[in-house]
Amino acid sequence: MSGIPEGYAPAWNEGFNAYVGPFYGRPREDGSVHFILDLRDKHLNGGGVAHGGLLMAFADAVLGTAVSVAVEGAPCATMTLNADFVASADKGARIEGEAEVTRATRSVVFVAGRIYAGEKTLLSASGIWKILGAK
Amino acid sequence: MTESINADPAKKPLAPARTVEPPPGYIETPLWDPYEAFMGPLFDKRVPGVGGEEELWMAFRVDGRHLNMRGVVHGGMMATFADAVLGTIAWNATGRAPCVTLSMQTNFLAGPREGDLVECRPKLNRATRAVLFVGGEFFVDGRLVMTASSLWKIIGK
Repeated sequence: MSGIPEGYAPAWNEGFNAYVGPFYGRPREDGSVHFILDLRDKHLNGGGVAHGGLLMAFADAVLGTAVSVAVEGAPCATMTLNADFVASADKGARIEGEAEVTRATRSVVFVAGRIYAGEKTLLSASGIWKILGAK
Repeated sequence: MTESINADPAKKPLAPARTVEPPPGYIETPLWDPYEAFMGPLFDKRVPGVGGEEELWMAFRVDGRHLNMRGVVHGGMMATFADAVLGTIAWNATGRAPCVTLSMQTNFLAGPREGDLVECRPKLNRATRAVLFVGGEFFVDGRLVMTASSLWKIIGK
Protein backbone atom coordinates (compact mmCIF):
# COMPACT_ATOMS: atom_id res chain seq x y z
CA MET A 1 0.00 0.00 0.00
CA SER A 2 1.38 3.38 -0.95
CA GLY A 3 1.49 6.29 1.48
CA ILE A 4 -1.33 8.55 2.57
CA PRO A 5 -2.48 10.75 -0.33
CA GLU A 6 -2.01 14.50 -0.30
CA GLY A 7 -4.58 16.55 1.56
CA TYR A 8 -5.28 13.95 4.27
CA ALA A 9 -4.41 14.62 7.91
CA PRO A 10 -4.87 12.59 11.11
CA ALA A 11 -8.33 13.42 12.49
CA TRP A 12 -9.19 13.80 16.20
CA ASN A 13 -5.73 12.38 16.78
CA GLU A 14 -5.76 11.75 20.54
CA GLY A 15 -6.46 8.80 22.80
CA PHE A 16 -8.41 6.03 21.12
CA ASN A 17 -8.31 7.49 17.59
CA ALA A 18 -4.53 7.99 17.72
CA TYR A 19 -3.98 4.53 19.19
CA VAL A 20 -6.20 2.63 16.75
CA GLY A 21 -5.50 4.79 13.71
CA PRO A 22 -4.70 7.40 13.00
CA PHE A 23 -7.78 7.84 10.88
CA TYR A 24 -6.90 10.17 8.01
CA GLY A 25 -9.47 12.71 6.86
CA ARG A 26 -9.68 15.20 4.02
CA PRO A 27 -12.34 17.94 3.95
CA ARG A 28 -14.16 18.28 0.65
CA GLU A 29 -15.47 21.47 -0.88
CA ASP A 30 -19.03 20.68 0.25
CA GLY A 31 -17.86 20.48 3.89
CA SER A 32 -18.05 16.69 4.16
CA VAL A 33 -14.95 14.76 5.22
CA HIS A 34 -13.60 11.69 3.45
CA PHE A 35 -11.74 9.21 5.68
CA ILE A 36 -9.21 6.49 4.97
CA LEU A 37 -7.55 3.78 7.04
CA ASP A 38 -5.05 1.18 5.80
CA LEU A 39 -5.69 -2.14 7.54
CA ARG A 40 -2.75 -3.49 9.51
CA ASP A 41 -2.27 -6.58 11.71
CA LYS A 42 -3.57 -4.78 14.81
CA HIS A 43 -6.95 -4.22 13.11
CA LEU A 44 -7.69 -7.86 12.37
CA ASN A 45 -9.57 -10.72 13.98
CA GLY A 46 -8.36 -14.32 14.17
CA GLY A 47 -9.74 -14.94 10.68
CA GLY A 48 -7.37 -12.34 9.20
CA VAL A 49 -10.06 -9.81 8.27
CA ALA A 50 -10.97 -6.45 9.84
CA HIS A 51 -12.46 -6.92 13.33
CA GLY A 52 -16.12 -5.92 13.54
CA GLY A 53 -15.30 -3.63 16.45
CA LEU A 54 -12.66 -1.84 14.40
CA LEU A 55 -15.14 -1.18 11.59
CA MET A 56 -17.63 0.23 14.12
CA ALA A 57 -14.92 2.35 15.72
CA PHE A 58 -14.00 3.79 12.32
CA ALA A 59 -17.71 4.37 11.62
CA ASP A 60 -18.11 6.18 14.95
CA ALA A 61 -15.29 8.57 13.96
CA VAL A 62 -16.67 9.06 10.43
CA LEU A 63 -20.28 9.65 11.52
CA GLY A 64 -19.18 11.73 14.51
CA THR A 65 -17.17 14.01 12.25
CA ALA A 66 -20.18 14.65 9.99
CA VAL A 67 -22.15 15.52 13.13
CA SER A 68 -19.41 17.83 14.39
CA VAL A 69 -19.33 19.69 11.05
CA ALA A 70 -23.14 20.07 11.13
CA VAL A 71 -23.15 21.58 14.64
CA GLU A 72 -20.02 23.68 14.01
CA GLY A 73 -17.92 21.92 16.60
CA ALA A 74 -20.36 21.92 19.52
CA PRO A 75 -19.56 19.00 21.85
CA CYS A 76 -21.61 15.89 21.03
CA ALA A 77 -21.83 12.30 22.20
CA THR A 78 -23.01 9.14 20.46
CA MET A 79 -26.41 8.04 21.80
CA THR A 80 -27.00 5.19 19.39
CA LEU A 81 -24.87 3.60 16.69
CA ASN A 82 -26.20 0.83 14.46
CA ALA A 83 -24.21 -1.07 11.90
CA ASP A 84 -24.85 -3.73 9.28
CA PHE A 85 -21.79 -5.74 8.31
CA VAL A 86 -22.16 -6.19 4.57
CA ALA A 87 -18.74 -7.57 3.62
CA SER A 88 -15.31 -8.22 5.12
CA ALA A 89 -11.97 -6.53 4.38
CA ASP A 90 -8.51 -8.12 4.34
CA LYS A 91 -5.21 -6.91 5.76
CA GLY A 92 -3.62 -4.31 3.50
CA ALA A 93 -6.95 -3.03 2.21
CA ARG A 94 -7.52 0.70 2.29
CA ILE A 95 -10.95 1.26 3.83
CA GLU A 96 -12.79 4.52 3.29
CA GLY A 97 -15.64 6.23 5.04
CA GLU A 98 -18.12 9.02 4.46
CA ALA A 99 -21.29 10.15 6.19
CA GLU A 100 -24.13 12.59 5.78
CA VAL A 101 -26.35 14.26 8.34
CA THR A 102 -29.99 13.33 7.77
CA ARG A 103 -31.46 15.83 10.20
CA ALA A 104 -30.22 18.11 12.95
CA THR A 105 -32.64 19.31 15.60
CA ARG A 106 -31.82 21.63 18.49
CA SER A 107 -30.58 18.77 20.67
CA VAL A 108 -29.99 15.70 18.48
CA VAL A 109 -28.41 14.91 15.11
CA PHE A 110 -29.35 11.99 12.83
CA VAL A 111 -26.52 10.71 10.67
CA ALA A 112 -25.87 7.84 8.26
CA GLY A 113 -22.74 6.66 6.54
CA ARG A 114 -20.91 3.98 4.71
CA ILE A 115 -17.53 2.26 5.11
CA TYR A 116 -16.21 0.80 1.88
CA ALA A 117 -13.15 -0.52 0.06
CA GLY A 118 -13.11 0.46 -3.60
CA GLU A 119 -16.46 -0.59 -5.05
CA LYS A 120 -17.33 -2.85 -2.12
CA THR A 121 -19.50 -1.65 0.76
CA LEU A 122 -18.23 -3.12 4.04
CA LEU A 123 -20.49 -1.51 6.59
CA SER A 124 -23.58 0.63 6.48
CA ALA A 125 -24.10 2.59 9.67
CA SER A 126 -26.53 5.05 11.17
CA GLY A 127 -26.67 6.81 14.45
CA ILE A 128 -28.07 9.57 16.62
CA TRP A 129 -25.81 12.00 18.43
CA LYS A 130 -26.75 14.23 21.37
CA ILE A 131 -25.60 17.83 21.37
CA LEU A 132 -24.28 18.10 24.92
CA GLY A 133 -25.98 20.69 27.05
CA ALA A 134 -28.80 21.30 24.52
CA LYS A 135 -32.38 20.53 25.53
CA MET B 1 -10.89 -20.78 39.95
CA THR B 2 -12.81 -21.87 36.87
CA GLU B 3 -11.29 -21.75 33.44
CA SER B 4 -11.96 -18.82 31.11
CA ILE B 5 -14.73 -19.29 28.56
CA ASN B 6 -12.13 -18.60 25.85
CA ALA B 7 -9.51 -21.06 27.03
CA ASP B 8 -7.93 -23.45 24.54
CA PRO B 9 -5.23 -25.67 26.04
CA ALA B 10 -3.94 -26.51 22.55
CA LYS B 11 -3.05 -22.91 21.63
CA LYS B 12 -1.08 -20.02 23.08
CA PRO B 13 -3.19 -16.85 23.33
CA LEU B 14 -2.00 -13.48 22.01
CA ALA B 15 -0.32 -11.24 24.57
CA PRO B 16 -2.41 -8.14 25.33
CA ALA B 17 -0.77 -4.78 24.62
CA ARG B 18 -0.78 -3.94 28.33
CA THR B 19 -0.59 -5.78 31.63
CA VAL B 20 -3.57 -5.00 33.85
CA GLU B 21 -4.37 -6.58 37.22
CA PRO B 22 -7.51 -8.75 36.98
CA PRO B 23 -10.43 -7.18 38.89
CA PRO B 24 -11.59 -9.11 41.97
CA GLY B 25 -13.34 -12.34 40.94
CA TYR B 26 -12.21 -12.12 37.31
CA ILE B 27 -9.56 -14.01 35.35
CA GLU B 28 -7.79 -12.76 32.24
CA THR B 29 -9.51 -13.85 29.03
CA PRO B 30 -7.29 -15.64 26.49
CA LEU B 31 -7.53 -13.56 23.30
CA TRP B 32 -7.25 -14.86 19.74
CA ASP B 33 -7.95 -11.69 17.72
CA PRO B 34 -5.01 -9.28 17.22
CA TYR B 35 -7.35 -6.27 17.49
CA GLU B 36 -8.71 -7.44 20.86
CA ALA B 37 -5.17 -8.07 22.17
CA PHE B 38 -4.28 -4.54 21.01
CA MET B 39 -7.18 -3.06 23.04
CA GLY B 40 -6.96 -5.56 25.91
CA PRO B 41 -6.62 -7.28 28.23
CA LEU B 42 -10.22 -8.44 28.75
CA PHE B 43 -11.42 -10.39 31.77
CA ASP B 44 -14.20 -12.88 32.42
CA LYS B 45 -15.89 -14.69 35.28
CA ARG B 46 -18.68 -17.19 35.70
CA VAL B 47 -21.06 -16.73 38.60
CA PRO B 48 -24.29 -18.43 39.71
CA GLY B 49 -27.18 -16.44 38.26
CA VAL B 50 -30.88 -16.23 38.97
CA GLY B 51 -32.50 -19.70 38.82
CA GLY B 52 -29.18 -21.47 39.26
CA GLU B 53 -28.02 -21.01 35.67
CA GLU B 54 -24.42 -19.97 35.28
CA GLU B 55 -23.94 -16.36 34.22
CA LEU B 56 -20.95 -15.15 32.24
CA TRP B 57 -19.56 -11.65 32.77
CA MET B 58 -16.76 -9.97 30.86
CA ALA B 59 -14.95 -6.73 31.69
CA PHE B 60 -12.21 -4.28 30.78
CA ARG B 61 -10.50 -1.54 32.78
CA VAL B 62 -10.60 1.88 31.08
CA ASP B 63 -7.21 3.48 30.39
CA GLY B 64 -5.91 6.32 28.21
CA ARG B 65 -5.98 4.18 25.04
CA HIS B 66 -9.78 3.97 25.24
CA LEU B 67 -10.68 7.65 25.68
CA ASN B 68 -12.02 10.27 23.29
CA MET B 69 -11.07 13.93 23.37
CA ARG B 70 -13.70 14.65 26.07
CA GLY B 71 -12.01 12.20 28.44
CA VAL B 72 -14.75 9.55 28.34
CA VAL B 73 -14.61 6.16 26.64
CA HIS B 74 -14.76 6.47 22.84
CA GLY B 75 -17.98 5.08 21.37
CA GLY B 76 -15.82 2.98 19.09
CA MET B 77 -14.16 1.34 22.10
CA MET B 78 -17.53 0.50 23.64
CA ALA B 79 -18.63 -0.97 20.30
CA THR B 80 -15.35 -2.87 20.14
CA PHE B 81 -15.90 -4.35 23.59
CA ALA B 82 -19.50 -5.22 22.66
CA ASP B 83 -18.38 -6.96 19.50
CA ALA B 84 -15.72 -8.89 21.45
CA VAL B 85 -18.08 -10.04 24.22
CA LEU B 86 -21.14 -10.80 22.10
CA GLY B 87 -18.88 -12.53 19.58
CA THR B 88 -17.42 -14.68 22.35
CA ILE B 89 -20.95 -15.81 23.23
CA ALA B 90 -21.77 -16.59 19.60
CA TRP B 91 -18.49 -18.42 19.03
CA ASN B 92 -18.87 -20.58 22.12
CA ALA B 93 -22.55 -21.30 21.45
CA THR B 94 -21.68 -22.88 18.11
CA GLY B 95 -18.92 -25.14 19.35
CA ARG B 96 -16.44 -22.49 18.16
CA ALA B 97 -17.51 -22.50 14.54
CA PRO B 98 -16.31 -19.28 12.88
CA CYS B 99 -18.93 -16.52 13.14
CA VAL B 100 -19.16 -13.02 11.72
CA THR B 101 -21.15 -10.01 12.89
CA LEU B 102 -24.19 -9.36 10.69
CA SER B 103 -25.49 -6.37 12.63
CA MET B 104 -24.89 -4.54 15.88
CA GLN B 105 -27.07 -1.98 17.63
CA THR B 106 -25.65 0.03 20.50
CA ASN B 107 -27.24 2.57 22.84
CA PHE B 108 -24.99 4.74 24.99
CA LEU B 109 -26.54 5.79 28.30
CA ALA B 110 -23.43 7.19 29.98
CA GLY B 111 -19.72 7.59 29.29
CA PRO B 112 -17.30 5.57 31.46
CA ARG B 113 -14.10 7.34 32.54
CA GLU B 114 -10.47 6.40 33.06
CA GLY B 115 -10.06 3.79 35.80
CA ASP B 116 -13.66 2.57 35.56
CA LEU B 117 -14.32 -1.15 35.26
CA VAL B 118 -16.80 -1.71 32.40
CA GLU B 119 -18.65 -5.00 32.90
CA CYS B 120 -20.89 -6.78 30.42
CA ARG B 121 -23.54 -9.41 31.08
CA PRO B 122 -24.21 -10.94 27.64
CA LYS B 123 -27.18 -13.13 26.75
CA LEU B 124 -27.78 -15.59 23.94
CA ASN B 125 -31.38 -14.84 23.01
CA ARG B 126 -31.85 -17.30 20.17
CA ALA B 127 -29.78 -19.68 18.09
CA THR B 128 -31.04 -20.93 14.74
CA ARG B 129 -29.08 -23.23 12.45
CA ALA B 130 -27.29 -20.35 10.73
CA VAL B 131 -27.88 -17.23 12.83
CA LEU B 132 -27.47 -16.25 16.50
CA PHE B 133 -29.17 -13.39 18.36
CA VAL B 134 -27.00 -12.06 21.17
CA GLY B 135 -27.63 -9.11 23.49
CA GLY B 136 -25.73 -7.51 26.30
CA GLU B 137 -26.00 -5.00 29.12
CA PHE B 138 -22.97 -2.97 30.19
CA PHE B 139 -22.40 -1.54 33.65
CA VAL B 140 -20.01 0.63 35.65
CA ASP B 141 -20.41 0.14 39.42
CA GLY B 142 -23.81 -1.45 38.78
CA ARG B 143 -25.04 1.52 36.74
CA LEU B 144 -26.18 0.76 33.18
CA VAL B 145 -23.93 2.57 30.65
CA MET B 146 -24.73 0.76 27.38
CA THR B 147 -27.05 -1.79 25.84
CA ALA B 148 -26.27 -3.77 22.71
CA SER B 149 -28.01 -6.31 20.52
CA SER B 150 -26.50 -8.18 17.66
CA LEU B 151 -26.97 -10.78 14.98
CA TRP B 152 -24.25 -13.29 14.07
CA LYS B 153 -23.87 -15.54 11.05
CA ILE B 154 -22.26 -18.96 11.34
CA ILE B 155 -19.96 -19.08 8.34
CA GLY B 156 -20.83 -21.80 5.85
CA LYS B 157 -24.29 -22.49 7.29
